Amino acid sequence: MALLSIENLCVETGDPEAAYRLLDGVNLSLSRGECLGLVGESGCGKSMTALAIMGLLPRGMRARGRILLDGEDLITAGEERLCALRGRKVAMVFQEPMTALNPVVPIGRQVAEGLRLHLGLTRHEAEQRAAHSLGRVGLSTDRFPLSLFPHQLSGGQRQRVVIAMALTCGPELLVADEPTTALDVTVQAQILDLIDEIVEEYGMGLILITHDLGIVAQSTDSMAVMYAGRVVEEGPTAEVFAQMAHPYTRGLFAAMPSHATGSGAATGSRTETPRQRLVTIPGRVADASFRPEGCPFVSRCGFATDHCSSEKPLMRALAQGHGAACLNLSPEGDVR
Amino acid sequence: MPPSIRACVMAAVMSDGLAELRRSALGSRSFMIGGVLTLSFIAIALAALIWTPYPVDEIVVPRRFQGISAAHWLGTDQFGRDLVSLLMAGAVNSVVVAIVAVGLGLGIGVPLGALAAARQGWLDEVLMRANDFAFAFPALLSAVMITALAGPGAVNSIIAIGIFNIPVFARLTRGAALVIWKREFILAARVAGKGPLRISIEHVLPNIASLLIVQITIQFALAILAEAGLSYLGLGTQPPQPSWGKMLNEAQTLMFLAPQLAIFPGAAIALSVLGLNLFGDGLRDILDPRLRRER
Repeated sequence: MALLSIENLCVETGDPEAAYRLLDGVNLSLSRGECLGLVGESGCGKSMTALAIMGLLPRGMRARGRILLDGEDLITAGEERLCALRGRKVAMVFQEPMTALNPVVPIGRQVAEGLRLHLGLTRHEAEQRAAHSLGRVGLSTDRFPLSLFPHQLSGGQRQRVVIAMALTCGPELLVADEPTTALDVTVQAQILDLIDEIVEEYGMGLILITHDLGIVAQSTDSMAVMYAGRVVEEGPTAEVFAQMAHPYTRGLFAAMPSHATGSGAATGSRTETPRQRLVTIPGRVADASFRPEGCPFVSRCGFATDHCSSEKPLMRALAQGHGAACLNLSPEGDVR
Repeated sequence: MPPSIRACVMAAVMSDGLAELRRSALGSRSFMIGGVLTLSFIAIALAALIWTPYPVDEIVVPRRFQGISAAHWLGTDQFGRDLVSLLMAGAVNSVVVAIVAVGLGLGIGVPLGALAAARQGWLDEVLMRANDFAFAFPALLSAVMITALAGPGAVNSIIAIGIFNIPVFARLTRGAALVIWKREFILAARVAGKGPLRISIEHVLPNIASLLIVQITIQFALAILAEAGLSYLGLGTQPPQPSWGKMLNEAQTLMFLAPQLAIFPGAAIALSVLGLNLFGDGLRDILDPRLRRER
C-alpha cells in the first residue's frame, strides 16, 4: 500500500459560491523509500500541497478530497490527531533555515523538544537523542555543543539543524519545501546528499519541492509537474525527462539556463559566443480568481487549439506510470 | 538568570557576546543612572526590613518638628517620628505594592494577550475590546472607583493598580505575539506537532521577553506613583502603616511650618520613579539594538 496517496485534492478560499480554487484535483501517490519531486513555477501550488498534507493551510482555506497517510485520511482527522502525527509520522524541512529556527532557543533544545513531546522522553534522554541526531547530520557535539544558538551557525549548518529536527522522531514521510534554495551552490549539494542518505537509511518517503530541474534529475525517482494548481504531467523521472510530453514541461526545460552550446555554437567561434537571452515562457500564471474553463495553460501555450479553452484536459496515460494532461497529445506522447 | 532571559540577551547582542553587552550597558548613561537609583531604592527597602534608625511608629511628642540634625538626619514629623525611618518603611510599602500590582497585571495580562494572539478570531476581538474598555478609563480614576466600591486599604489599592496593569500587558503581549506568530519557526513548531499552548510558552514568550522586561520597569514606576496618589487621597495604605503618599498628605497642612515633611517624601517618589523610568529606557536600548540605531 502506498505510504501517501492524495486523491482529488482541492483547496479553495473565499465564498463557498464563488470560491477561488488554489489546488484543483491534485492526485499524487508515494510509497516508502521513494522520492517524489514536485516542480513548477512560483504560485503553482507546490507549497500549498505541502501545507495541505501537514493540515496547516492558512486561515480561510478549505481542503476537499482525500489525503491518505497509511490509509488514514488527514483531511477529516481532527486537530488533536494531526498534532500527534505532525513531527511523529510526517515532518518537514523548510526553505529558509534562517527563519525556521527560533533565534532565542538553543539548538539542542529545539531538536529535543519534538522527542519530549512525541515520545515522552525525559529531558536527559531527549538531549542524548538530540545529540545523536545532530551527530547524524554532521554536527557532532564536540564541535557544535547543544547550547549553541542559531545565530552562531552558518546557513548550511542551520539547515542541518532543521533536518535533525525533522528526522529526530523517525518520521515516515518527509516533506522538503525547497530545502536548498536559500543556500549557496556548494552547500546545496551537501544538503541534498544528506537528505538522500537519511531517506534511504530510515526508509521514509520524501516529497521534494523545488523549481530546480537539476535537483529533480539527481535525487528523485518520480516527479510531478504542477501548473496553476493542477498536476499537468507525472511519471518516473527518467521517463518524464526523456519524453517531456506536456507543453508546459517543455517550456520549463527550455527555460533552464544551460552551459551547453545551443544556438550560440551555431553562430561560430567559441570565444565570441554572443550572450544568449534566457528562454522564457511568455505570459504568467493565470490568477486564481479567473482561471479559464479549459486548460489553465491555454493562454501561454504554443500548441493551443480552439477546444483547449473550453475543455478541461484530463490526465492521459502514456506509458507505465507516465501521464500528462493535454488535449493535443497523441497516444505516443507527442503534441500534435 | 533564567534561560529565556539569557537567551534574549544573547540574541540581542548577537555574536559579539557579553563584552558588547557590558560595553553598551556601561555606555548608556540613562541605564547607569537609573540602575543606581533603582538599586539604592530597593536596597533601602530591603534594609528597612531589618533596621531603621528609630522604631517607625515611635511617637515622642516633645521632639516633634525637629530640623535636620545628627540624631535625626532628616528631622521629625508632627508626632516626633523620625523621618528617615518613615521614608524607609514607606519604601517597603511602595515596593510591595508595586511588585504585587505589576505581578497581577503580568500574570493575568500576558496569558490573555498570548491567548488572543494564538486564537485570533472572535475571542481576540472580545478580549481586545474588553481591553479597550478598561483602557478608556484613566488609571487613577478607575483605581479611585475600585477603592470607593471596595473600601480603602492597602490590599484594595494593590488590586486596583493591578487591574489597570492588565490591559497594558495584554495589549503589549498580543501585539508582539502576533508578529512572532507570523514567523516561519512557528510554522516549523506546528509542523513538529506542537499545539498553540506549547508554542506560546516555548516559542512566543521567550521572543517577547525583552519587551516585557522593559514594560515591567515602566509599570513598576507607574504603580509607585499610583500608590502614592491613592494614599495621598486617603484611599490606599491606612495609618499607622507608613506610605509616601500619606506623608505628603499629612505634610500639606504644615507646608509653611515644616516644609521638609513634604519635600523629602516628594523627592523620594520623584527619584524612585525617575530611576525606574531611566532604567527601563536604558534597558530597552540595550536589549533592542535596532531601536538604538534608529535614534
